[in-house]
Amino acid sequence: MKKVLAIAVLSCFVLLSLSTRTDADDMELLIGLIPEQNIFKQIERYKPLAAYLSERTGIRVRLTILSRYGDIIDRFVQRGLDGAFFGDLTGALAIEKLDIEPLVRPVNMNGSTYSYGYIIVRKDSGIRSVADMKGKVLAFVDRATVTGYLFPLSYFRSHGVANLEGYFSEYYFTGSHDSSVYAVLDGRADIGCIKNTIFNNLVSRDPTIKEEIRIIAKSPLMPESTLCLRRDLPEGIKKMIKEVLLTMDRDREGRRILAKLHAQRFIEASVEDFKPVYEMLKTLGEDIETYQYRVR
Amino acid sequence: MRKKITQYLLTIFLLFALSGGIAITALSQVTKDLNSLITLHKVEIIRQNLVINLQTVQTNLYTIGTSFGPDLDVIVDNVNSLDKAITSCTGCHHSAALTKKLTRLKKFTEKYKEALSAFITTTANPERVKRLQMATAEIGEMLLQSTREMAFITNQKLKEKSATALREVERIKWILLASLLGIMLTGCIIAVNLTSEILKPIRELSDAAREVASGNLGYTIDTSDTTEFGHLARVFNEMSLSLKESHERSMKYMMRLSGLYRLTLSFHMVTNEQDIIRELVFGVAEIIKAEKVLVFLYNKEKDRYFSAFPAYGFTDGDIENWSYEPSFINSIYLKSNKRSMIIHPEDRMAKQLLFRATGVRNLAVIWLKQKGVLTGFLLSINKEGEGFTEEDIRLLSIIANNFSVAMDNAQLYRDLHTQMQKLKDTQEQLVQAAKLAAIGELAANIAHEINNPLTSVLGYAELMREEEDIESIMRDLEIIESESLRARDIVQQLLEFSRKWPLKIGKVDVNRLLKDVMDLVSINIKNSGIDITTDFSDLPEINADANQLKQVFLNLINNAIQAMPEGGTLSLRTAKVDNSVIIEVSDTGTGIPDNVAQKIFEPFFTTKRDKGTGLGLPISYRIIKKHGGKIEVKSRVERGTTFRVILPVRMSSLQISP
Repeated sequence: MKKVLAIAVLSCFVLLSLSTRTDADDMELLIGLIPEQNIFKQIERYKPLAAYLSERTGIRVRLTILSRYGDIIDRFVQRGLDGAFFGDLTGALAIEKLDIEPLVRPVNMNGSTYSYGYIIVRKDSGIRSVADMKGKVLAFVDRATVTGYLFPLSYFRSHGVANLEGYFSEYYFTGSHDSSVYAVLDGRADIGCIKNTIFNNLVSRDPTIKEEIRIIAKSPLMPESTLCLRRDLPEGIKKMIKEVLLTMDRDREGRRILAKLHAQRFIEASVEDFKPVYEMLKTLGEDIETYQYRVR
Repeated sequence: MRKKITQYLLTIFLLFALSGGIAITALSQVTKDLNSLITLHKVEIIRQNLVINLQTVQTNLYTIGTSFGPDLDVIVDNVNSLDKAITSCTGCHHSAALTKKLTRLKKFTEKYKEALSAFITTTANPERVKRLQMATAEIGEMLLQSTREMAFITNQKLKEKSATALREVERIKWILLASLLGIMLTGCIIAVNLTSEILKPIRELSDAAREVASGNLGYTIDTSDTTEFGHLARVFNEMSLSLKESHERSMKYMMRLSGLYRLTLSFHMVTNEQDIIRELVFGVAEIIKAEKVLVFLYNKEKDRYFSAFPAYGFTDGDIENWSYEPSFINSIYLKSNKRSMIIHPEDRMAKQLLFRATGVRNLAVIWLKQKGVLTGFLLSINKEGEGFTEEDIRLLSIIANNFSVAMDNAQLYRDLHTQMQKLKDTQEQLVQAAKLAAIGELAANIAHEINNPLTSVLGYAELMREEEDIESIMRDLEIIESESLRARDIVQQLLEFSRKWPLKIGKVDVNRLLKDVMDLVSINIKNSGIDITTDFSDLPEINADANQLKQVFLNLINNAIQAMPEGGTLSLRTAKVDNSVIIEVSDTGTGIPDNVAQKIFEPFFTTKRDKGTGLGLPISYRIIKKHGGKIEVKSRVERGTTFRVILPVRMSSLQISP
């Protein structure tokens, strides 16, 4: 009897030790990225952060990038993602459709925790208003972005453009903000849409861009890329990751990595941050439940 | 030599250092060349990776979005690897032209990445998408082309560099080989030189040593060499000369010792005093190499020291009547502290001593003593060369001691000889007396034995005169006759002993002979309480005189019977051992005491005063001796006696001839 008891106790210990191992050491988090900008740049930009998180938490953090904004909603479960850096609309969609919770969001280099969208044209295109845009080629970013689609759409509507097909000779989705700028610069489109943070990055690297581009319109403030994690992840892990991210601006290595992300630090994020998105949807008469975010 | 060796070793060391330096330089050069080659090859590998990556991405371009297209993450990885490959290229040192090309390549890559990303993310009408794809593919192709061009250029360069490096390696190999050979050759020359320089004096030394070993003592070698070998040669010469000197000294010493030995031996070989003196003077003259040697001995009767004959270097006339007063000699003896000495010829003492000798150059006086008493002295005059030494005096003193002992011995020998002679004379007289006594006893015995029959004869002759009838006369006559015959037998027996017995040799069966004897005595031992046991072995017939042997055995058996008056056992035993026949006659009688046993074979010795003649055992002894045999006796008092006769089966011719 004693023997059996001893074996049972021993087995319990073994199992316990095994389970703790799987909890911390062997755990892997797969974080998704949307193609805000050139997918290669995007993944390179987030890689140091992933490495930093892995090192500090002991949890292996792996990144994966998706080719469409909408895919982050459609394929979150399918790809087995544990979390993602969501944009304005994708964040709101995720909160609605996926069981996730916002964790942190960055404070930009200019101190703002929000971004906004621009409608741009080449200066030499002669376009100064919506009226000049008739019959031109328009390059949106993606349906699942406020700054790259919903805002320009509402802007055009408020300027009397009810039907895009009739007004523009062609409109398409570049899939990323910088690609939209390059499409305008390279003449593949006459009108482009871009988030101010990305635009600023491009300009800081190539100041001539600012000379060539005219900003036609500016959107209201929208939430910046927010890291959201699966709600069903262990609380301890979520807490640990949040802790590391919120305090990383206090160490040198952390600051170096934040600079690569064009951020000063991370702050706590909440569902409330996405209120402007809902307002924009309301303006357009769209319901987030039924909003057609997929591009075809 | 040490300096020379050091110089040579230093030269060799320098040569090795030089060769080491050359080798290290050459090796480092080769290593550098090889390193640069390895680096070039590494670069080539990077370049190949670049091309492969590009090709992969280009392939991806056409498959993106299709079911068999790769995952976006894979494409991103591929592109990033491509980017890394280019970055690693630009990180190296290159010529300005190449750097420019690489910068261009980098720019193209950026563009390619942009185009590719745009193509991947854009959603538009198929035409636009197609255009984007074509544009991307075009950039990719250009990139590939440009990379290939560069690869070709660098490959050419790699080939050139490889060839140059290999040529350099080959050149260095030859330099190394040449320097190695040169150094080996120089080293060999130095070694040969050094060896011959070291070996030459060593060979000289070893030759000289062999000379010395072969007996050429005092052999010297050239010492003009200023090196350590010159010093060694000088030491060797000293050793050789000192060896020679010490050898000569030992030889001289040996000569003296052997002379002393010879002389001492001669002293003890002769017993005549004059001979001893002769040995002394001639021996001393020979050993010391003196011209004249003369001995003076003290004469007790005349109380004076007289010259002894012979002397060496003097004629008999020279030394005749040369004598000294004991007082004069004693004064010199005391003055010398009783020690032998060397005297200067001009010394007054010398002049007094040598008043009859002329031309004296040097002189030694050796005292002769017996048991501490001065008995004479020896004068040794004119030693060859530089005169006497203390060593000579020591040697002469030893000789003088030996001489005294020899003289003492000669005296003793002479005394012993005289004593022996006296003893012999006395012994002879004693034997003569004993013999006379024995003969007297024998004569008395004979007289007694003969007297009995004679008395009978006289009695019966007297009686016969009174007899009347012829019958009685005839009876008396018969008795007279038998008594007369008895007397004659006794005389016959006596004659038998006194006579010399020639042997009558024939074949004798010893066992048979013993049985005959036993038959003869058996009557005597009836009722005497004596048992007889016999143990006869098979014996060969021996060559012997049967009658004389019979007499011996009869004698031995009679002795045994007489030794057992109270009865006992008489044992007879025969055996053959080797070429001899053994006959033992044992009794269990009274035995013979040890002091008696020694004498039993002497003539006239008898323990049976009334019965024996003392001739039985001596006769037996003589007979057995004549047969070439032995007779032994073993006896224990009150236990019995065993006589053992050992006879050879065949006598030698010497014993057979009378």
